[in-house]
Amino acid sequence: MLSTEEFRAFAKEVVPFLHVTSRVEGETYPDLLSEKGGRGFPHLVAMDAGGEVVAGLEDRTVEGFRAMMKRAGEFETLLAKKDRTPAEEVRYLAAEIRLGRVKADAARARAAALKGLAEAAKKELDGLLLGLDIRAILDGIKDPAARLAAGRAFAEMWAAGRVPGGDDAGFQPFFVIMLDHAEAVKDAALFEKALGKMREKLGSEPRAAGFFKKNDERLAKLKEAKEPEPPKEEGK
Amino acid sequence: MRRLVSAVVAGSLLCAAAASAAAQQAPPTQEQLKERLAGKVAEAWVKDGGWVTDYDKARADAKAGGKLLFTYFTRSYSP
Repeated sequence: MLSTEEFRAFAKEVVPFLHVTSRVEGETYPDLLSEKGGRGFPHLVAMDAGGEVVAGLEDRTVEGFRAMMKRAGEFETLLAKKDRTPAEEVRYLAAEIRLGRVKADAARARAAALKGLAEAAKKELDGLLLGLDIRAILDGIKDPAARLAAGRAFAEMWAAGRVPGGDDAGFQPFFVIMLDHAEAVKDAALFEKALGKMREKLGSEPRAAGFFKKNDERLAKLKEAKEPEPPKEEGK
Repeated sequence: MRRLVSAVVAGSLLCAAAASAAAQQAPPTQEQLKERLAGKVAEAWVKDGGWVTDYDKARADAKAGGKLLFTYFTRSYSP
């Protein structure tokens, strides 16, 4: 994709900057990836001339690159604007949440202060705030016990109707970690429900077949363990 | 969707395989790392793509041209 004419045309609209982490001694900016919020390779973002991340990638196509740069330009405009309308304030907050520029509590307070929001805007902010909460829980996982506690927290969030969509970044860890919790507390029903939710989104993917086979086996074992003992015959 | 599947399926299996392979290999020398970097920037998509690989120059170009940086992070130390 990066070798196509379509990409070359796009590259003329921007400054295409390639950062290669080499681990060669003396390399300049060896930690730039992590400084800009990257956790793995490849990582693509839009940055302004000061090196600040102003948009992240959502779709890895040239069209997606253009959309990211468009969002980056819009964010720059909103950032520079002093008197934002309520609608602009929503877009500005949403962009800041997506970029990880605002913590969950602060984002929640700012969202609560926005009055008269349209239903769609409210829904978008709720989804983004949920994503922040999930991220905060994931960041607190330092050992197996914390992982199980996170799974329990996710199960409680789900029971309260707070669940990430299939295309949200938090969807996969939310349910995978919940499976571990369900197994630990021997809750076959929760395990089955969480696995079913994952199957709805990923079940048709051939590459996920091994994952589902393995977890179907875990579920079967959980169910076996829960099989009630046959009633004892009376009089014996 | 592809990212989710990768995380789910490849996450556990490939990490274990990679960890095992890495444990068996000695870390690359500085010479090898330099060769790998040279190889990466010599790849056709880099060479012909007009990429700026100097961060300071990229920011200066963006400032001068009133443009944004389209930033691609990759690595050369490992395949």
